[in-house]
Order: sequence, then C-alpha cells, then structure tokens
Amino acid sequence: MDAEAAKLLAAALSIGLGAIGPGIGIGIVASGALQSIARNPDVSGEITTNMFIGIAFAEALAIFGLVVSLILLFVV
Amino acid sequence: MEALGFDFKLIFAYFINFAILVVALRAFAYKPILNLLEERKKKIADGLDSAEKVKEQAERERAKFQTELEKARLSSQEDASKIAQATAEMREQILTEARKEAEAIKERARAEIEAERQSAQSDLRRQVADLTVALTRKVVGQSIDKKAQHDLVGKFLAEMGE
Amino acid sequence: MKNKALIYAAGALVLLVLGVMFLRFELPVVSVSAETLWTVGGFKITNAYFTSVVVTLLIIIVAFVGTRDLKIKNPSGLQNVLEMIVEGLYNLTEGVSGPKWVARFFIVPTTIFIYVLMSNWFGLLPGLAGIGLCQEHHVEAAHAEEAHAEEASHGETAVSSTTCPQGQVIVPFFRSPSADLNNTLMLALVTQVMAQVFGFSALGGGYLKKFFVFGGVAAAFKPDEHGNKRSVGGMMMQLAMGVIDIFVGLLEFLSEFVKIVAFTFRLFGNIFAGEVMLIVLTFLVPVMLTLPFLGLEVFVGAVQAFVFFILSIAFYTVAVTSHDHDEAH
Repeated sequence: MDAEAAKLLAAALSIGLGAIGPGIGIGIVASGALQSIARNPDVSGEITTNMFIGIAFAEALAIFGLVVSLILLFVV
Repeated sequence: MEALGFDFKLIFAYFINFAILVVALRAFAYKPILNLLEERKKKIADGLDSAEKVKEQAERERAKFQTELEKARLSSQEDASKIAQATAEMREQILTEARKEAEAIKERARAEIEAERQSAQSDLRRQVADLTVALTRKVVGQSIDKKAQHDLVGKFLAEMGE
Repeated sequence: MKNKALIYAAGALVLLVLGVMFLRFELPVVSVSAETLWTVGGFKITNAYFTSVVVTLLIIIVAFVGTRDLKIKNPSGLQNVLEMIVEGLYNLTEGVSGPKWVARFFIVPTTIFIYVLMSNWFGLLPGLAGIGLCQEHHVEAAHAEEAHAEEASHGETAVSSTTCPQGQVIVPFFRSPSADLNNTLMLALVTQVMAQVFGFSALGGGYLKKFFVFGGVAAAFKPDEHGNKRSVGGMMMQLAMGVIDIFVGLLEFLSEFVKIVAFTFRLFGNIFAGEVMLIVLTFLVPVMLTLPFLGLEVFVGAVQAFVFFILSIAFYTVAVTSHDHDEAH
C-alpha cells in the first residue's frame, strides 16, 4: 500500500469510524428528549433547546473526525 | 493551514463585516424593536389597568344605582299604598255624603210631593164641590133645595174621599 | 386521487431517467477553500467573502426597511417577522441565561444566528453555482501533478457542459460564507473572546480560578473543615482530589480552545459537507433526487444557525457562573 492509498483510506476511516459514536450518541439524546417531551409536553421548548446543545456536543466529535479527514486529504 | 484556506487578512475582513452587521442590527433592529415591545407591554398593562378601573367604577355605580332604585321602589310603594288608602277613605266619604244628600233630596222630594198632593187634593175637592154645585144647579135648576144639595155634595165627597 | 399520485410518480421517474441520460455534466471542482474571484491590492476577494458582503448588506437593508416606521398597533408584515425573530431569540436567551445578563448576551449571538442562517440559505439558492467567472483550473501546488493525471484520464470522456474555454472552470460568484473556514473561525473567535470578556467582567480575577484550581491541593496541608488536623490517609485523599481538580481545571482551560475548533468546524463541516453532497448527488442523478436533500440542507442550515446561537449563549452563561457559587446550592 503506497502512501497515497493509505492517506485516502485513513481519511475515509477517520470520518467513517468517527461518525459511529456521535451517531449513537445523538440517537440516545434525541430518544431521551422525545420521551421527556412525550411525558411532559409543557416543557418541550426547553427540552428541545437542551437537546440541541447535547446534540451539538456529540456532533462535535464527528466534526473532529471530519476535520482529520479534510486535513488528511487536503493538507498532509 | 494554507490548504484549508486560512488567511488572516480574510479573517479580519470577515470580522469587520460582522462588526458592521452587529452595530447596524443593534441600531436598526434590536434597540427599536425591544423598545417597541417594552412600550407595547406597558401600554397593554396600562390598558388593562384602566379597563380594570373602569370596570370597578362601573360596578360601584351599578351598586349605587341599585340601592337607589330599591329605595325609590320602597318609597313609591309606600306612597302608592298611602294614596290608595286616602282614595278609599275619600271614596267612602264621598259615597256617604252622596248617600246622605240623596237621602235628603229624597226626603225633601217626598215632603214636597206630599204637600203637593195635599194641596192638590184640597184644591180638587173644592173644585169638585163647586163644579158639582154648578152642574147640579144646571141639571136640576133652581128646584133643588139647599138641604138636598148639601146632602148630595156631602155624599159625593164622602165617596170621593175614600 | 390514487391515479393522480401514480401519474406524478411516473412523471418524476421519467424526468429522473431523462436527466440521467441527457443532463450528465462534469463533476465540478470541489475546493475546501473559497475560490478567489478578484485580487485587489494583494487582498484576495474570495467568492465566500463576496457573498458575505452581499448577505450583510441584505440583512442591513431588510432590518432598516423593516424598522423604519414601527407601529405599536397593527404592525405590518415585515415588522411582524422582525419582531417575531428578535422577540423569540430574546426570550430564548432569557430562558437560558436568566434576566440579569440577557441584554448583554443577546446581541452578538442573535446577529450570528441571523447572519449564519442567511449565509447557509444563500448558499443553497439553486442556480447560483452556475454563475461565475471562468478561471484557470487552479489546484493546490502539492496536488498539481495528481490533478493533471486525473484530468488526462478524464478529459476525453467527459463532455464539458460549461461555456468556459478548455482548461478553465467556472468559479461561481456565490459560495455560502459558512463553507469558508475563515468566516466560521472568525465567528468562533468572536464568540469565545466574548465569553472570556463576560467571564472576567462577571467574576473578575475569580474567573481564572475555574481553570487553575489549586485550592484542593492547598487544603490538604491545612486542617479540615472541622478544624482537626488531617491524618496521613486523609491528607493523601485530599491531595489526590486536589490533583484531580487541577487536571479538571486544565481540561476546562483546554476545552476553551477546543470550543473554538468545534465551533469553526461544526458549522463549516455541516454546510460544506451538505453542499458537496448536493453537488455529488446532482452529478449522479441530475434531476429530482436532489430535491429532498435540498430540503434537508435547508433544515440543517437552520439547525446549525440555531446551534451556534444556543451554544454561545450557553457558554456565556457558564462563563459568568462561578464554580463556588454553583456548588453552594
């Protein structure tokens, strides 16, 4: 495997594997938020806001994977 | 970094752009709109307050009016009953007076009639007597004597008197 | 009813197939950095920066026109919309940060929200990708050879659908500013610097105590809260807790910088990835298939603007709350 192929593979793996965890995490966050809203629809606005904050934190990890991918593809 | 397109001049240019946007929006959008919302909130609160006040006032007026009305009704009722009583009394009085008067008139009329009858009777008697005498004189001529004449008249009168 | 739906579906399918058959085009050059349109005195005006200026002007004009004569009673259309946006974001800010700070917190994140939302949506306007200048195929120096090799293998088969001369590509005038790292980095820096400013203005020097926590270690060498002398075990325990505190503080200090990176790349990654996805989808199936994804990107653009807004508010709120106070209640 030459360096170029390794780089491409690494870029794909970086975002591919990196998106698994955040994907699961965001699913859990959304599931919890939906359950809370179903139980107590009065505070759905607040829950949604906090859900987005939680999702943003989980998503940041996937974004880091994306950054590594981009750096591998375009910078290294 | 270069390959990702980072360029400090551009970052600074973007920053200036953004700063202008912040200042402009603050001046054109946030301040006037928030002031407006505040003003509107105050106005609505004022409106509600004054509406409350007006409602209270109206309630008070209504209560006052109600009591006055009650009073008026009571007094008018009293008046009416008093008037009715007075009317009844007056009616009674008028009726009695009228009855008395009627009685008096009747009495007087009866007395008059009685007197009339009396006078008419005596008048009639006298006329009848005269007539009879005249008639008799005519029929009998001077033939009948004084005694028979008086007997006749007396008899006639006695018959008539009954 | 059913027949109509079937007809529509069949029509869509026919369009899709026709599109695949006749509307294929070259895959445009996907560039991570914004392309330069003009160079003015050493300053490169990129298309993303150009779009940013346009978006800024548009927002300012709309705000200016919409608030020219504000009415308390019976507001008209535009005023209603502006009021709704400003009031909604203000209330949201108040809900997160509390009434004390809302007036100061609200301005920059709200501007970011409006600016980012408009940027994201501006980049999605269909058709704008085709309007631009013809430029030499510009590739990063390091990749020039590969690109050439790629072009050689591609060049003969692909039919150029652009009106540009051979060897040139269209550089569109408009590119979403959110798909330019300079812009997102600027927004992230502004947000984080503001957070530090708010933190210092609220807590003074105490703000630094959040990151450099030596209280726990120091406490190990002092008597405990009841005034008793600590045993060796207790001292070790307290020392361990203090060291953990130091590390947590340092982690938080580090996370202040990580936040910048996260802000920068979250927005950039979402918007740029969305645009690349749309381009690739259009390349594969030119007609119909991109529509649902366009809708998805509209949603993603709104969500990312909202996330940027709500995260900055949340970070500001965290910055102005002191740790000691937090633990006290």
